Amino acid sequence: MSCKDKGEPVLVYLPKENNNDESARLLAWRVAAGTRVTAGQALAEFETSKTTFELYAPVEGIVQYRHRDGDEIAVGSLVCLVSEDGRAAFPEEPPKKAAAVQTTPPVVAAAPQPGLAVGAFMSREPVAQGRRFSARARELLSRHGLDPEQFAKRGLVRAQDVLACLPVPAEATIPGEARSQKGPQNTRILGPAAGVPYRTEQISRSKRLEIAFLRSGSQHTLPSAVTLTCPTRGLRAAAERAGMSLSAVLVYEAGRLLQKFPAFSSFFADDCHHFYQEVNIALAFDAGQGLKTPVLRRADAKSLQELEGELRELMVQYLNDELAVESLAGGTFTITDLAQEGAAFFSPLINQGQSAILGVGAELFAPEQSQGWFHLILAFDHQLSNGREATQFLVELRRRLLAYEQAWGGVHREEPFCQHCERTLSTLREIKAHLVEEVRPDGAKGQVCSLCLRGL
Amino acid sequence: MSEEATIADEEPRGGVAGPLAEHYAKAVLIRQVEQTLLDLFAKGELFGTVHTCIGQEWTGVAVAAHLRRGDVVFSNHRCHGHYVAITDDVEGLVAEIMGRQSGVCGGRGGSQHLCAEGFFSNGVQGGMTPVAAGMALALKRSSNDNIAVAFIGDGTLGEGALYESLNIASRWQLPVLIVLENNLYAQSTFQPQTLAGGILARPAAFGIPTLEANTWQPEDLLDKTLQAVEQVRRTRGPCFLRVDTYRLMAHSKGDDTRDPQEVQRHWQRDPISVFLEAHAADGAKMQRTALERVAAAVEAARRAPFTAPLPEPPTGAVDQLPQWRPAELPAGDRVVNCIHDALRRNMERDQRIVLIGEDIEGPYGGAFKVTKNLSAEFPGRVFNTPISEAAIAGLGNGLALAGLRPVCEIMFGDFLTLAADQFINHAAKFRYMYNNQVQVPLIIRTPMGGKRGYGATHSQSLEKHFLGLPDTQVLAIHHRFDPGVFYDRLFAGVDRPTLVIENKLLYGVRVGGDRSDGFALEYTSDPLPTTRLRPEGVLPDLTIVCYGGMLPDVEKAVDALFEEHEIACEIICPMRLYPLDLGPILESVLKSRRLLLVEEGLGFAAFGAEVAAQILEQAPGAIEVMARIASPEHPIPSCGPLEKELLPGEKQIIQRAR
Ligand SMILES: Cc1ncc(C[n+]2csc(CCOP(=O)(O)OP(=O)(O)O)c2C)c(N)n1
Repeated sequence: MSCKDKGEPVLVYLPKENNNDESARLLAWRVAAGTRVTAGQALAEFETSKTTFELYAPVEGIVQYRHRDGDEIAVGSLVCLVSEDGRAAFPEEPPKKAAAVQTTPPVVAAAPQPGLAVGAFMSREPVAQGRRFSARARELLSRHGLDPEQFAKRGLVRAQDVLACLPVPAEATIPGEARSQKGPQNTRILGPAAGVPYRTEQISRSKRLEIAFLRSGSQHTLPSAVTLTCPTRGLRAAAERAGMSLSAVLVYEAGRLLQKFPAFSSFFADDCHHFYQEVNIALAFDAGQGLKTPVLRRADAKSLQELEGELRELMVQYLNDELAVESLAGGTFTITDLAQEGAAFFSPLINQGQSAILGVGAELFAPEQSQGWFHLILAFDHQLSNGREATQFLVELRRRLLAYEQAWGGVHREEPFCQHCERTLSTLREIKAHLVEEVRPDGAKGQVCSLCLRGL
Repeated sequence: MSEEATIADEEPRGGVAGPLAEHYAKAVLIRQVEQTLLDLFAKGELFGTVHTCIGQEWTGVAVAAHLRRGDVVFSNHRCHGHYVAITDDVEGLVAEIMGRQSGVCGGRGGSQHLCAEGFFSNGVQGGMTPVAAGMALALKRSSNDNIAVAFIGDGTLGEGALYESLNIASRWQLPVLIVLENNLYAQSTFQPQTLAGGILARPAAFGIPTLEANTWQPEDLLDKTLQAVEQVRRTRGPCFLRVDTYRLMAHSKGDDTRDPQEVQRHWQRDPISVFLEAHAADGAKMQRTALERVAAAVEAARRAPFTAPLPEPPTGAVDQLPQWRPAELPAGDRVVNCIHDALRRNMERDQRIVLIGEDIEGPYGGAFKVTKNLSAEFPGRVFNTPISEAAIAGLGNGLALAGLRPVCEIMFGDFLTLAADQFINHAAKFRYMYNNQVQVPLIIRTPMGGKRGYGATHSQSLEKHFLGLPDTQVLAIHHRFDPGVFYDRLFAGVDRPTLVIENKLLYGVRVGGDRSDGFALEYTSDPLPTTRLRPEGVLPDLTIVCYGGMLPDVEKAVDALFEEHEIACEIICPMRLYPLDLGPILESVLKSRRLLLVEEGLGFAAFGAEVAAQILEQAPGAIEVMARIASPEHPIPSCGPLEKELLPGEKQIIQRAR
């Protein structure tokens, strides 16, 4: 059928895809306005909280539309029209329908998906009329000589809000500050790392709804953490024997991994996922002079030697209490190594403007045993990533660290072993398993046992 | 045997002359109705049970003989005879008891709960006597000569509400006739076992004139009822008529433990049997007419549909989010003065408003001074009662049935328990069981709450016991919504029994006083709105739900929680505790995911528990953390510091919120 038959334009409305969504986001037009389409041709792609779907041309003709990519369109409202000459007049939207979508937020029925409603509530909040500082916020204002007027019509203003407005994010970027308090709100991300450019990607609608749902009243991060146990026969001792700094190795490898896992060098704000376009690794350390997090800029682009040199330099500055303010700012990811203190497991707090922090625990050995283990902990913002990705990051890092250990001669294996579960060949025999050779995508060779192979 | 238990042994008179014939015909009709009902019961066509008046028919007939249009009758469980005698509505009665839509109450009320113009029965012994007194008060105010009549049984002489009513009826000289049907038994209990002293000595002690008659001498009974009715009509004061009689059938069904010989003796002197024997021809005709009429009524009822199904009950599901409007509430007067001014303003505007309570007249003006000066300003509309909470509420019920707007004050909320029967079993039931023939726009105000050292029986918050009664509402005022406006709106719209929870400490608080910066005050669009204190510019970390007198404490806690702990709380303070609009609470919880429920009363099965349950039902995933703050399960100590320690306050809220 063509619209010629009737001579009237055919109106294409947005269908209702599910019971949750009163509207859908127009992801992209598949045809330019004014294009002639055939019946059944895809016109546009939409996204609801559950899925994406395509809208097809009901008839042949020329498409006219006014909506743009990214628009949120109410279910049942006009998407486009298809006419013979492409010059049909747009009908008046029935005002009731449009109004209904805007003013009546989704109903919070007995539905177990209140996520939808949450999204609705957030946009319903009126603008603040006044402002109110907490005691800590007031103290910070006076300490930094900030003008309270800066916060006019901001409503409730907390310490973190004031910190976010400091020209140099001095104490705000120091995790020690955050650590000295309790409560999840201290890990909130407020703004990007000062002076670091970034690119911005829209967060998908369904992800935003998930976020809205999971958000526990605290506005900024949803901290989560993954821990991985690493087998070792003495990585630290091996590094020392080889005259290498384990910190530098961690910065070096993490820097490279972050290129692969950009979600951990990013931040969440205004319902968007912002990715840093530099990898600047902050290394939290405390050698008795107070906790500081100097930043190794562009860690992903530097050699191990360069990083080692820089680290040594920073260490000297730290001990002389000479660390420049600039060297403390701009971190996009943090590593905290509490092995010195003997902490085997801990939960690091995500720093402001970041989305993840890597914790490295102390090595543990049972008495008389050469085979021990340590923990790698990745605390991350669940709004921007998930446990699976965090685990992948850690698995990859563990593999690399094990490679160093082997290279430095820390591991003297008398017999072959599975590089995933660390069971030796003799142990495997006892449980009627065996080893096979494995070639990884990067070409490296190794052994994997039949149990892990099945599991993988 | 006491004087009261002696069965009058006069010879029944057999003869019947002109005017008597009609009354006999009525008595015969009533007996036929009752016998048919027993048949229907045996056939399983009735619901529940019936209390027949076989043997006592003449009481209703005699009283009805002297009543006029505009008189109002209150009856009890044994009410069929009274009803037919007064209304002649056999058809409505039979259909009612058969559970049909064509019944006088649409089948909703049944045997004990009948209502027609000027007739109300309820199956709570003695409960209707203060209601009758209230109606009599209304009748007295509307300068006509109508009277109220209350039928009671001799077993009901044990009910306290009766004496509260007699006292008030006499003290206030209310035109109410109490008719006691003295049949010597209460269900299975023989009178001497439970009755001390004399029967007539009781009304006499209250200064109420008394009369005596019996059903074996119908002509004398007619005389005496005439005297009694005329006495009340003329003097506009009460009268007590004792009618000795005997119930010839079981109390209800199959529950007769009396000596069969005793019952048999009474059958032999039964005035109706005697009459039918003496006037065989006339009597047979009367019986036939009655039988035909009742049979036709049964047939008609059988064809009628059963009681209309209930309207869909509200699901309680939130289907609309609240619309919030910014509140304008300039600092105003103290809460107590706002209530006082609103009462005065509305009494000026609406003549139907009357105030009833203990010590409420000037110059005292109520224990908390809410009604100061009103008795002087509105003479005859502010009533100091004796210490009779059941009667206070019952009077309110009677006045409300008469179309007035009674406002009852219960001096301490703790004593609401004494008025509970009137609220729960009378006020809350009338509209439904009388099939929408009446409304009960009754307002009961009472202060709840502790922290004044009044001790365990004067400090409680007992509202939880009154929540959830269909057809009622429970409202709690607070200082963030002008209580004056609250009462203006309540008077403008009251259509059901309403309990208003005030709070002792709140009385002295200034309406709209100092408020924390950074929080927006907003109302829903409900005329009696839910109030919200919304943290501006941020999403709340925590939702705190509270009501009434808890609000000032919660506000202080919320201020400190932000000031010192940077926790942003949103307060949701409903005014309507029941029926509850969950929407505002649910909305807030969906933002904060954390809920703290605060109330001053005991927490077990209380408001907070209900809110929590509803939230869990409607949005199971919405809450991450939930906690309740309420009084620990402990009586309230009088000692100030101990009481403060025990009752929820700012400190507990801060501790819990963190
Ligand atoms: C407040 C209350 N308590 C108990 C009952 C149960 N009950 C129904 S009738 C009845 C006996 C009433 O005796 P009486 O007042 O002498 O009236 P009668 O049955 O003799 O007509 C009782 C105890 C009731 N209906 N109301």
